[in-house]
Amino acid sequence: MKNKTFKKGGVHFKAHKFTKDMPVKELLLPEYVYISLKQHFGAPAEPVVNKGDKVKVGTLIAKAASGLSANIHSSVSGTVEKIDKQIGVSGYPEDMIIIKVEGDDWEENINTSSKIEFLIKDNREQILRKIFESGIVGMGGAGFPTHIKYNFPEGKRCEFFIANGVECETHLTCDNRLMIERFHEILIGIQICKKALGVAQAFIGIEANKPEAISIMEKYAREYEGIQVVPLMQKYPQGGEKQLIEAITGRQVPSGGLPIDVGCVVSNVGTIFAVYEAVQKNKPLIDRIITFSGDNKNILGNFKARIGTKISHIINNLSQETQGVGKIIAGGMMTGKALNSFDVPITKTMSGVLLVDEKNAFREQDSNCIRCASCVDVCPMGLQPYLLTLLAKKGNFEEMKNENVMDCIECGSCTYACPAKIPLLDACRLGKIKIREKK
Amino acid sequence: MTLLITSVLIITIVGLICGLTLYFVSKKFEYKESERVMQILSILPGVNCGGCGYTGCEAFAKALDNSVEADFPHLKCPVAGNKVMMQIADILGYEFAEKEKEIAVIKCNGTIENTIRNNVYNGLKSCALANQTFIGSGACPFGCLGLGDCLRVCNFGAITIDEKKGIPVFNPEKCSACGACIKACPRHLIELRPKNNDMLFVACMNHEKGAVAKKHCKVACIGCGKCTKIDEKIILADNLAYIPNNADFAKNSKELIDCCPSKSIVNLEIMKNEK
Repeated sequence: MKNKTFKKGGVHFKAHKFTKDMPVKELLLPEYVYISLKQHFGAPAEPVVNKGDKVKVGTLIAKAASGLSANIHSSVSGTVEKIDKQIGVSGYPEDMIIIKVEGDDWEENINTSSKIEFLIKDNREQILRKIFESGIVGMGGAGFPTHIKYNFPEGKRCEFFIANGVECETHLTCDNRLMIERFHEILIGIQICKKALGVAQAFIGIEANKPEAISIMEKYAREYEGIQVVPLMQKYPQGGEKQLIEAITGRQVPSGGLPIDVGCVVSNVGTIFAVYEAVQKNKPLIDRIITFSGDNKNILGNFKARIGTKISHIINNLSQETQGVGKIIAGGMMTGKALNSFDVPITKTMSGVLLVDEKNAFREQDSNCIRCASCVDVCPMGLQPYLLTLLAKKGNFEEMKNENVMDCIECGSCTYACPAKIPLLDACRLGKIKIREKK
Repeated sequence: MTLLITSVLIITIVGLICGLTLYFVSKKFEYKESERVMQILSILPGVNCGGCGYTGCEAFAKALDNSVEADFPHLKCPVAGNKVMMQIADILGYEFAEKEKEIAVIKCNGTIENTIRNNVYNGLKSCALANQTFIGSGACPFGCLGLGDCLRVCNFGAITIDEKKGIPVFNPEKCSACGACIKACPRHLIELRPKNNDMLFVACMNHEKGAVAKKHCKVACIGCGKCTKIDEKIILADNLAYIPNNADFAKNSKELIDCCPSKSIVNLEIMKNEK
């Protein structure tokens, strides 16, 4: 049988998964960690510690602000050095809590044993409260606070829970390794999420280029009730929420709508693993798995890193030279963000760090549009990027809004497919910025 | 031959009928703009820049026609200047108070020489877009991005980006103070200031602490407060000095320029000669 996929658009490219067979390695603790107060979508958290305070691993150091926000916990034990501005992932100075690491002392209520807890004791309210308290956010990249996603408004009904193990981005393998190494935890995590959402059926979407993960998941999913593994055809951007829902259930999220409008909730497997740890082990979100990849073949691997570790610390740990690196990207090649320097700390949403050689770091010179409509063919949202680009150049943002530019998921397929190398995505982003400004 | 004559005749007759119909219809339904609006419109510059706050010169002329005398000081065509506004006041029968000519200045002097430029932006040339993710070629999060949103909105060709400087340069002769660039700048660096040679302004918008700001840029305001001791009207807030328009420029001009340790207080002359 042919594997499922979404209908409209999408691109096929070489996945470059160099690190897919590399087991996750634990890293040595750094001397200092720099924990940003804004690692999620929404308002920055408010710090609750002061200079000189002693903290343990898992101590709450910043409380969620009202509205869209999430708690932040200390990822190390030590002394709060100061709260200062440092360059973060956004490219701008962000408020960060800087902690000097002293030993590795965990909070008492965290279960640090490696034994798997199978029995789910908590009820729905307790699970949602633990998710909120542990500061869990979507770990696929957007960083939407999970407790808000699971607390969908009254009157909406959730039918399916979808675990996102697609990982359609190039280079990244952190979800793949997690599924291979921590399959039991993920499956229990799915059961917890199902209980929290009150749904009977869950799917795990995995792309066909991860046969090991698919076979392991299929083997163990039989032991659990109502979990089905769905192998998917390899196509970008299948990991996008809306595309994944269409691929698995055949339902289309309406324009401007949320997945809950079609009765689905999607979570990344990394998030599900964090939910498992929060609910069964009382462990807040303080570390994550991060893939190091790119052109430099010496700096490869999957690492378990504490939130707030600087990228330079990990590279020093590998004792590798970084000469000739022209670009550092946080995330995947398609949706990732270029960083200013190696001194940027890891956040909850950073799934990978890609080092690009100088010769590949620059975009090619763009030329005129030849009306080939490649961008229209590949747009998974059914937009017309060439038209949006023309409108953006004229400054006609009102018309861009009528052409549904707000539905753009910023996957970058259009820019990838364009033979004239026109920065189509940039123009769409500009339109979105201008329309949001006007509101 | 007859075919040719008939066709020419038919076309002529049809043309005559259409022409006459149009003539009578236009006579019957003629719309006459009030005399005053036409008069005002004829003396306005007619570039439709929107600097007055209305959609174009015609809308502005109508607004002037409908205005009352108390509103008149707020209605101003920044392009035309005092002479034209005086004529308009004559037409409307209002009193006219002369206003000082203004000019747009950029409050950033982060030229290639003054900053250390490590970062490269490679996307669509748009400040509004770059401002979302890109700190700037240097490391100053408040400085000019140099991608030219201001020069693209300028209707008068008064702004150019100097290749050697990397920041926009304003031509005082061409700038008509319409304010389009002020709205376009995502970092709010452009301000309208009185156009005279004594006028001083702080060519910096950096709110960071002195030591940090100085690291990014040689001419960053470090918020030392020396200038506030010379002129009490100068405001020092959030590590940045601001010289208001009512400061006594003529008296302290030279003293203020000399007192600034980082040379961030400038006048039009200095900005022009800056390399």
